[in-house]
Amino acid sequence: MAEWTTDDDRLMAYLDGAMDEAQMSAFEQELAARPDLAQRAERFAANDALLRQAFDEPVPATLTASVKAAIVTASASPARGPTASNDNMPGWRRWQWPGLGAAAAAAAVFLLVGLPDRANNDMEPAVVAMLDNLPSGKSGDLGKGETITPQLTAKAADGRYCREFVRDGGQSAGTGIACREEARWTLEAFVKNAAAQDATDQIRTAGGKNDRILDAAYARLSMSDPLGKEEEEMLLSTGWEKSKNNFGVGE
Amino acid sequence: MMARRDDAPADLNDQIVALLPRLRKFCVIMTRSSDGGDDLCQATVERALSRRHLFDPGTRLDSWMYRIAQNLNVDRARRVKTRGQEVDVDEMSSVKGDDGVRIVEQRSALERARAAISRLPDDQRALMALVVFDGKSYGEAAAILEIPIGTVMSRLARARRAIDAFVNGTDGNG
Repeated sequence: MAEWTTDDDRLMAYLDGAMDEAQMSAFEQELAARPDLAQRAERFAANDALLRQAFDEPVPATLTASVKAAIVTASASPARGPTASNDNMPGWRRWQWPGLGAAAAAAAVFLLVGLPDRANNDMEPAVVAMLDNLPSGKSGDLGKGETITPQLTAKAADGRYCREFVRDGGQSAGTGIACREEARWTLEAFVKNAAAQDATDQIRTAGGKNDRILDAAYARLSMSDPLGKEEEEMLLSTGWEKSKNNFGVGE
Repeated sequence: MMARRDDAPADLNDQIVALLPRLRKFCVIMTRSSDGGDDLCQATVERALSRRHLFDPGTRLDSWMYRIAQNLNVDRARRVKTRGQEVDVDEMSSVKGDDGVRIVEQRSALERARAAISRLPDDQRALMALVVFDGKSYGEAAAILEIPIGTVMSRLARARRAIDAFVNGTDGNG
């Protein structure tokens, strides 16, 4: 084929079974005549085999079970008529990642465990001040070696502005999401750092569970994409009052 | 797109369950973690079930579900990226198995392989997942990812050079 101009093009087609018989035997003759290319072909084939082996793991029983549960639930729901063939299906959340199912239930448990131990989810005054005033990416000092760094600002479907932040250096080190309403910040989700307090210069959010908790909160709040820098600057400089009018609503 | 009623839902359900091992593998590769892959897989199935009346039985179920998974993951990846998170290489490279000794011996090579895949840019990783892991043709892979077929081979070549460099310490060209 004309577009196979380079050795690597032919090598890809060879490895991926995209050659017909004639092309394959022609390429194999080429390999026989060129040890360097043959060696490369062997190495790439071995790499592919290693990759396949590395991802060869069984489907967890929990996933199979929750998928089957989802199938049962879906089958039990009333059959939809032909008019339902658009995407606007009442009763179904348009965006389901991963706010439903077993993962969400697990996340909810972790969420409660992860919340700081206090009667309500109001934030302490020093944290409130930082969330009110710090641009995303800038760290603020909370005293006693603790810092807080807002990560981003976004808008929840209920109209509140929310910020994801990272706390570092103390008992409350972790990543959280707080939303603002009438000058108060409410903690919506928080994931404590397990053993990350020795990691000094690097914020590392372990994937898996932690992501799931935050993702579940994002889904629950139907959060918008993060606001741009200018939009965030405007909120910071105007004391967040914009959230009271229709700025950004009705997207 | 052709809208169909779910004439044979039971059959479709069976096909979805049968597809799970391959779908999960695609999801694990795309999210770069086993846990994330499970979540994406579950979300993909739920979305597919909620839209099963849109599935055309004359087309391939696996391609349809891979595309759903890919779209969900792009949404998520965009959000994660703007949150500036780091990928946890240790977590994503965990290798499971049942034979302790054998695993210790192979662990480092297999972990290296997982790390090599996880370092690829998303577009290259998606092609590797479909073509190398799932055996899709270039045409099918291009259709699922909605990319021009002419870019498939060059991306695969870049991906394989990067993997070779990472796994074997080559400069990717030797």
